[in-house]
Amino acid sequence: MTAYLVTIFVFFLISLLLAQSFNLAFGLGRLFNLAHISSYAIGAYSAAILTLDYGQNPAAAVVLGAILSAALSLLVGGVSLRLSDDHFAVGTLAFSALICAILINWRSLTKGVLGISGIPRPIIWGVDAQSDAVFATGLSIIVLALLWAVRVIFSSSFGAALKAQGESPAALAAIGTSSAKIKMTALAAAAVLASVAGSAFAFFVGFIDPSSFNFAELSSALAIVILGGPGSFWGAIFGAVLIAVIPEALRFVDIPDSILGPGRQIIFAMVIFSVLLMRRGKAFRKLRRV
Amino acid sequence: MDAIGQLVINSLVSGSIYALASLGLALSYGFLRILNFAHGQLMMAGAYAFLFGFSALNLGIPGAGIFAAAASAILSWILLKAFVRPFADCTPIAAFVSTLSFGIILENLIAIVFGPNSRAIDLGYLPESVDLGIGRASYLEIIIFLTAIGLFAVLRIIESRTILGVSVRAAAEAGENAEALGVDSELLSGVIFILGGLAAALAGVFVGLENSIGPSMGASYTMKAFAAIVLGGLGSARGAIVGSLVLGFAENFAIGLDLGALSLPSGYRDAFSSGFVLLLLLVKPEGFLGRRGRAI
Repeated sequence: MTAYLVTIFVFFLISLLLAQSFNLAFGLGRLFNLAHISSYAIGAYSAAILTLDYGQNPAAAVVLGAILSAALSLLVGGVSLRLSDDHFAVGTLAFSALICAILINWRSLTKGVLGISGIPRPIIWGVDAQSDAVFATGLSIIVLALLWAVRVIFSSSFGAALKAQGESPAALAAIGTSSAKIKMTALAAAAVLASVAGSAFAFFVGFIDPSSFNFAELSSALAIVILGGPGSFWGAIFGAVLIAVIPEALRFVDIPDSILGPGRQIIFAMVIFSVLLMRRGKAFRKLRRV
Repeated sequence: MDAIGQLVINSLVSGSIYALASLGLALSYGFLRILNFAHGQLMMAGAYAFLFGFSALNLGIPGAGIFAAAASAILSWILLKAFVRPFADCTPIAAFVSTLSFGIILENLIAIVFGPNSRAIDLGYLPESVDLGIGRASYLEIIIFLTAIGLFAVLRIIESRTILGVSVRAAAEAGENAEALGVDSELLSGVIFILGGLAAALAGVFVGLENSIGPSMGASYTMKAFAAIVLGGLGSARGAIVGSLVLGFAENFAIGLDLGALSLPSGYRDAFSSGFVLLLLLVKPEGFLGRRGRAI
């Protein structure tokens, strides 16, 4: 039972980090970046490939993955940020599909659909995270530190500017602030956080394949952010708790595995839709054009 | 030369399927300015409805066709009424997210009911093929091509010769003014959504007959349909058909042409449309559907 709870807790931490990073770009900045899941994938694959094939130490692998994710998010941003909302979503969706195709097809690097197995648990500063409890403790510290950083961003002047460009780009332009730079920074910061979450996932599970990083995986992050209210730091934490707990309740009902997976997805989608419907007047009201 | 001729035939067939698949997306964007992220799932569900009607209910081909049409019409209606309409006064993001969630629900329901694996729709006929001079095509492939051509001819006539076509254009161009003059845009959007859903379902059935269908096929077809309407340059049926043909040719030639070391591995087939979208957005960032009022 304790082992089960520790496992749940680790997945909770990972999904919280992923959701909070999505909350930064989408919730606060209204950047509906569907390629966000690609950063998570790059974090996971970097952790696996750099430690297994290139003998890098885990910490370096995580950092390199984060840098790579940030670089890619700048590419995504460079192409997509010039676009309107509609086209931004389509462009970033195209990016995520492309990354997914690369994960499946670049077999010499990613082992394709077979996935990469045997990713070792990291030993960082002499601490061996072989046991789940140690891993959970270590990850808690890292996630707490990163969440603190997110909290700082949320309440900083940068956070306010990010929120402002989402709500009224014209007003921001009027006071002479460039929204492009703000959006790029937000995308990169979100990518770094998502990448770390992905690395944690790879190290914890020890096995990754492209199916863990397709678009559907973003639905839990989306559910968490929408549930907590887009742009709300504490809301996302509350959402993450609910989204971690609800599907686990399914486990105690006698449902076969073949239904459990899709069932979870359906629950997430229903949560997203119903909360969206209830809050549509508040969180998503149409902006006044200036 | 033979290889090229065959590629041309294959491209026309894929292009026809993409045209049917993207019609609804083009129409709904042209008319409602809504990007429907569940369009591929609508197509997938239509194909499964046909499969269910044919193999499980033994309705025969016409019966299964009617069953699938009814199912897609109902699903399109639900999508419009519950997942698009309520967000008419919100930022576009709300409708993206809500149509996305509809797609996720549909995809996973189908996976639960029919299983996650791909399957072909088998009508019990062997696909006979004929020699067209430049290559071979099965009767099915000829039917697919003719259906696409026929449907767009019909749409063309609807657009220019009927009250429906004129109303759609009026509502798309003038919105509230057209409503004031008695155009029921609520009804029109229903007609447009259902029409698009039916075309998508037909495309799905064709994919099932030609290859196979699976619950997760939707996302890649949504992407292909986006690519087609991006390429087409307009949120219009005409743009969609041109874009679909270009995509069909580009995809088949990029994968099929033997360029030695430069050949694109066939695994990238579905990614091709994504790459295309990105390239186009890079070249033409102001967007693809520039003009309003070209709903058909």
